[in-house]
Amino acid sequence: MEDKLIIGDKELNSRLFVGTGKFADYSLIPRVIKSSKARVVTVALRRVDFGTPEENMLNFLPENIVLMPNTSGARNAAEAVRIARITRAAGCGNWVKIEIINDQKYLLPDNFETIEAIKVLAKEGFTVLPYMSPDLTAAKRMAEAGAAAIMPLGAPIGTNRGLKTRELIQILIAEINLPIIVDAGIGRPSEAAEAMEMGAAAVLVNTAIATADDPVLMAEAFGQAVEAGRKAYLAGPGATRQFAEASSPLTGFLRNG
Amino acid sequence: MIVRINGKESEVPQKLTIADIVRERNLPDRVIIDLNGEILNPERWSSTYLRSDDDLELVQVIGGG
Repeated sequence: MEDKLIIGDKELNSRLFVGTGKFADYSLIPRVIKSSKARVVTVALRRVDFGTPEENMLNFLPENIVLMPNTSGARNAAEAVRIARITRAAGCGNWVKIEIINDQKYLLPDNFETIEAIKVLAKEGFTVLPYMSPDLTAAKRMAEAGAAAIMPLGAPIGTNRGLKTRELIQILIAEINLPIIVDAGIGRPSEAAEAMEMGAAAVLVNTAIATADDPVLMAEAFGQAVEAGRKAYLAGPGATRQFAEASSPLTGFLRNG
Repeated sequence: MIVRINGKESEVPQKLTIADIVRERNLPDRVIIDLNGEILNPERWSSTYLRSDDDLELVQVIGGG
């Protein structure tokens, strides 16, 4: 039986999404995508810096990936909508990660503005994946507004602290009938595996890969962890118990009785 | 004439095309041109002249999470 992730009009055979920020060198990125087997890649849009122009990220991305531009920099729904329209008009596809942040300390997203942005962009035919602070009511509103998935944070961006919000994520997985993609805070492959074992549809990882000593090897580890976690979820883990239950017979071997 | 380029007011000569600006400022390939809220494909750069009070945004795709 095939276990495919379907979001919008895309059928994905990898449940690991990777971000392209914070890499020391853009040339690492195609190698990371290859070793991780990721198929969805996030990028950002910025004004050209005339003083120190950056290389074009698009030149480093292979052909067969799904591009997911984020609306980073947006402080409200109107700005997020503007960024999304620019990326689509520029040929970046119709997927968009809504990222609306007004908090510079924790980089926590503004769920309220995000809901408004989804309403506009979903109507315009975008496949909208909102980055959000895990809250069931907000997630329900985002689903009603037309989101294609919900992307709750595990911990603040860049902290590598894992699934601090795990119980709230579990509630979203149980109650929202959309793919739940844990985005932000995952610091280790084991944490990505844990998210998948909980029933997350996918995870998005950026900092943990980009800032590893060996990003290409770390990306491979994350790819394997996501596959393992998903298989574990599908395999149906056994119950946890308080008291021990022997795995081998308790009857004596080298003595009678 | 005065135009806004990436949010900053600039004095530019008359009869300047988008292609001129891209060339002059040594912009990366696949730069995205947003003129007054409309994305201009590269085919139109040589034939689109800037006008006074235009709002020009020159953006590009960079790494992001």
